[in-house]
Amino acid sequence: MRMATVAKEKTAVLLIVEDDREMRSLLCDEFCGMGYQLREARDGDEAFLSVLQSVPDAILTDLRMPAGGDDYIGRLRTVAPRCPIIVISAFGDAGLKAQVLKAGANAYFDKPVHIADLKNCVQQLLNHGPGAESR
Amino acid sequence: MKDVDCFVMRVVHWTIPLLTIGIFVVDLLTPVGIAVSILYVVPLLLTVFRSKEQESLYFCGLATSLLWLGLFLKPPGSLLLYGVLNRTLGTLVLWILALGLTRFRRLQHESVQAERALMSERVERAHAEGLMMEAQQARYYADREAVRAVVGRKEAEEQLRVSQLRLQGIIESAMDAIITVDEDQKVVLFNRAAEQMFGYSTREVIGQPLDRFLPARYREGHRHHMRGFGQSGATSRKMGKLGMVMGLRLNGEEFPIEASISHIAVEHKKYYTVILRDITDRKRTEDAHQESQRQLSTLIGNLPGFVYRCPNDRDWTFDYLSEGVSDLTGYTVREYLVERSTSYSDNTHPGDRERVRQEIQEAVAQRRPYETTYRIFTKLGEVKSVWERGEGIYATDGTLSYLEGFVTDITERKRAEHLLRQSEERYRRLIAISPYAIVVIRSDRILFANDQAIKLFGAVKADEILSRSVMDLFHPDYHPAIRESIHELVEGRPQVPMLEEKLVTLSGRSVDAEVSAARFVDEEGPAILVMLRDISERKRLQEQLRKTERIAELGTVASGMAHEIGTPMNVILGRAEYLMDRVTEEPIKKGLQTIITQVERITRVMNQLLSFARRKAPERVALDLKQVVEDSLEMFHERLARNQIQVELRLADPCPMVLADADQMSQVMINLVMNAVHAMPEGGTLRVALAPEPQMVRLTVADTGHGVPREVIKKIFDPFFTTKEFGKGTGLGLTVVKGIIEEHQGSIAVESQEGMGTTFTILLPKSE
Repeated sequence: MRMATVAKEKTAVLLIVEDDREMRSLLCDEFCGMGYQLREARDGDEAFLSVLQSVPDAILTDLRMPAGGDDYIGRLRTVAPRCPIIVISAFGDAGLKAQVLKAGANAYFDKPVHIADLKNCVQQLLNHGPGAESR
Repeated sequence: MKDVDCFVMRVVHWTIPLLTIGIFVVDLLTPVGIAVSILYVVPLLLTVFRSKEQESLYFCGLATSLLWLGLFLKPPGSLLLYGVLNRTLGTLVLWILALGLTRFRRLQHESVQAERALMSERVERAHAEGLMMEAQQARYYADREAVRAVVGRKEAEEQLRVSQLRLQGIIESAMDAIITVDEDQKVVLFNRAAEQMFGYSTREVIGQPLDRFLPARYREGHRHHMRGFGQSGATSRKMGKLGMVMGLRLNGEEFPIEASISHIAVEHKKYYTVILRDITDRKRTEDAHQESQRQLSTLIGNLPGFVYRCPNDRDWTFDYLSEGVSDLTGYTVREYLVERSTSYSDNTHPGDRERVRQEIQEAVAQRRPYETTYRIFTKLGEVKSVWERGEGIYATDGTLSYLEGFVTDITERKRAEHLLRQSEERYRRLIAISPYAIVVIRSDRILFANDQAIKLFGAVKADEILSRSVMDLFHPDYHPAIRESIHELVEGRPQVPMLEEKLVTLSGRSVDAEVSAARFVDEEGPAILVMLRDISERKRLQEQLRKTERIAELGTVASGMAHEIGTPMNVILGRAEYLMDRVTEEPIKKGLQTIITQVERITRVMNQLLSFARRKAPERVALDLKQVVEDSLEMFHERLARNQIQVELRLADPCPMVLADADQMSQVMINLVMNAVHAMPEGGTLRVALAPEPQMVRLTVADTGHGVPREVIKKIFDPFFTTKEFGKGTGLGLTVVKGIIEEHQGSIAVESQEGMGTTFTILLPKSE
């Protein structure tokens, strides 16, 4: 609760997990401009460690990357039970989407995704997500 | 009459002398002046009854002497002169009378003679038995003349001579041989016909025995017959009543003759005249007739059945019946014809009786032969099938006299026919139920097609495919191969191996079929038996299996690839959008927008590929393909213009809706147009047409590009098969198209000619 208050008061912390450097760079450029505090992770393990250090306000993550995959969301969810998780995956199918959402993700996007859509989603989750509830 | 004559003769005999003496005495006693001497006239007249002609003259001389003697013996008186005058007158009268009587007597004699001649001619004529009047006449005169010749009577009168000449002519010109023999059987007359018949000349045979005209074995018997005949009262008779009479020619040849004989007695001598006719020809004709009768009866006897004649009555009461009837019906001819214990009508099966009667009556009414089959009951109660043919026999006035015909047993034939029909039926059924379509062709035309074949070719009735060219029913691609096969079969190859070919049904649908053919020859010549089996289903299953495998493979590849390109595309898209927000120059903005649009497009294509690979079922709705076509072309508008490609649209309007997934159809169009564009790097014409077909809508996309070689066209729909430069094509475009079309229960075909272009033809089911 405290953290949420902090997040609200301070700039929200966004963890971006992406193994592709260009993609990660793009996301950083976009969300940096939005005034979020950004943290980056290049694979699942880094993301896990990052969350263990401190749970961000939202996690924006790729799925197919080293230490990623099917059970990655579930693992992440165990360490960040309330943090909104937004999954972006290349040409996923309906099954994958359902599976990801079931594992605890809050939103799912296929690559390529319009950044604007992504921004809206993040904004929405930060406003109405667990943080909003805690307020 | 004769008796009276005799009596008168006798009385006259003694009356004349007494009367003469009496007159002489009276004359002496009477005075000179009285002319008693004139009474001599009375005996003189009586001499008429005397037989001798000259008697009147003799008596007249005597009477004259007596008359003058009486004057001398009387005493002369004053009346002497008167007496002389008186007696002179009397003498004159007597002589005149005597001469008159003599003449009368001569005339009377002549007339008696003529009468006698006439009488004997009558008698002869009565004797003659007539074959021909002229011949009889001839024989009569011949007899007479021959007899006269023999007896040397040369005093025939002029009249008879003329007659003889005429009769001689008749005898000589008679068609029949005429031979006259005397009592000793020596020939006295032999006419020209006889010369020709026996080969002798008249000169040779006159005076020769008749025997030489008979074969040796008949001679004794003949002589005996002749004697018997001579002694019999009859004057003529026909010969040969007791057996055939044979003649013998000079050359030794025997021949049958017909003869009649007559005899005549002249001056107590018997003469026989024979009239002969050579009946060799007639005999031959008779023999031939007899032989043909015999043949006919043998033939009738050997017929497997019977012939009949009957009046046209209800019972068919036979007038005539051949023996064969007992073999057929078990009843004898006697039972039918004599005892009448059964009738053929009764023997006829009641179920057929009226029909047969009717058929026969109709035929008879129309005066044509009838022909019918029916059943009969035999005496043993067996049922037999018979065949009958007959016709009415009509009298000269046109009325029906009776029916004549022939009946034969066809039970066996019927049974055989029945068995044959059964066997035919069995084979027919085998052919009918055969799971193979069976077609018989002769000289390229379809002669026969079983139900399966009719169904296979999409026909309802056999007529729709019969007598059509076999080529009409096969896909043109296979025509050369089929022609080759037919040629081989016609040349004598017994069969050709099974081939997979493509048929074209009447509705134009292609059907894959397994085709095998064999040659056979029937009475009309060589023909080809073709067995076809629809293997579309098998092919489809095979294809599906192959496709499933391919798609599984494709799915794996596509997913991996999607992941690989997903991120770079996202970077492109994101960067473009990022820049978009930060630039104000319109050209740059426009460029960025294009990047964004293209990424979106790629995304769509990728998604479609993935959805196809992941076998996402199409969402089929009633769709206007026209819209899809127009949208797709719009999308390519710039590209087409740049490549100098003309677009020709031939869209039927209105065109029926199809039942299809809009996205997938769009994907099909994009793929096809893309292919067309790639095929025409130097420009050309893109023709897109949309036309209704029965139950389908046909979409054609044709280019005028470089075309596809034949060996390539087979693989054109295979996944990852591409002719495009590396990196330009995925090798999936047409695979996706085909997959989509097939999922829509449609078909896609490609035709291409190198250097001329390629045409894709798609058939999609209508929405209703």
